[in-house]
Amino acid sequence: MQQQVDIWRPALISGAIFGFIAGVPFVNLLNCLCCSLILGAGVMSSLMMVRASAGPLGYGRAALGGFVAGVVAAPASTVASSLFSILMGTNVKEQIEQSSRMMEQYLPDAGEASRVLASIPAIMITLMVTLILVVVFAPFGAIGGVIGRAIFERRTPASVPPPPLEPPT
Amino acid sequence: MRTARGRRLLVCVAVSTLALSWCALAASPPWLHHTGHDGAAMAVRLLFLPVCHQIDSRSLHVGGEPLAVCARCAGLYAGFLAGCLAGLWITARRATPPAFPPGRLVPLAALPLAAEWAMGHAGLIESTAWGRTATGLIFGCVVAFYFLPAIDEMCGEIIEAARRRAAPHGRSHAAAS
Repeated sequence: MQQQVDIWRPALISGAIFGFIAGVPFVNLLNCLCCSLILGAGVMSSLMMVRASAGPLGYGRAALGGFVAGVVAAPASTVASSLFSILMGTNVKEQIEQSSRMMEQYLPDAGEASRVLASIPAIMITLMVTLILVVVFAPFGAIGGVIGRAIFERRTPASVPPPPLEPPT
Repeated sequence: MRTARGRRLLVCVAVSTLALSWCALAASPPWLHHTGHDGAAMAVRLLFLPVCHQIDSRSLHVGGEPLAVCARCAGLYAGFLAGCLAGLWITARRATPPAFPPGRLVPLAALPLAAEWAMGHAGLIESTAWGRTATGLIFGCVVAFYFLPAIDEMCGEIIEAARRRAAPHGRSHAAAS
């Protein structure tokens, strides 16, 4: 049976890189283009797995690697945005309050919800945001993994020669 | 074979249900606002904030209010849902799993989306909400036809790995039976 290619190293590396980028101010606007950074994490994970695999990479394996990359990207994004928030002197509560104020043009009665958010400690909001990002980023990472496999894997099972038969003992 | 087919159907139903829930969530803010649930509408918009710019002028509107995502994202999600439902229908009618489409179909399906985005930003064409939705629909639908069998394959690998771990002292199930 063909040895399965490792998913952890590609997923950790690509999830950490793209997750960190997704937390950098202004650059993270790329993620607003249909979550392209997290799709990119899955694609990069698949590319690394295709290169490391002796045989054709399966779609399931690519999806799993992308899924893990998406899970890793969520805390990486939170760490990056927290670091930059400290550097720039803002915090996650202020960012959410700013977003809430922008939404009040459509939702004039959402002030109560904004006040509830403002009363939650910043660390709890950060943890909640990370958890939500894990749930959102994981499937996007899996989709990115599938897209990456479709684009980068050119080998077919027929193009890979079968292993030589073992001589009878 | 029957077990594998059952797993394929279950995967298709589960992914389609999740896709439907995601699309319904994205479309819910106008309805939530009109029914007086402004807090819930705001929570849904905040949920989609990490994955979409939510610019009003680039979003589809229902009852004068924008959805939680832009027109392109709405098309992507709706296309993905349509692809999942089509995949479910195909899987229900077949005894054997459908083959993966050729890999080059993915960049081909992304071409209209990328071209519309690039030409719209360059001012070569007037980028309309329905144009963005349509190009997103195409790509989302095509991706679903890869994603469904990929998740089925992934579930099969996870189940197989769990069975190997559960088999006592490395005995295979074939040998045991």
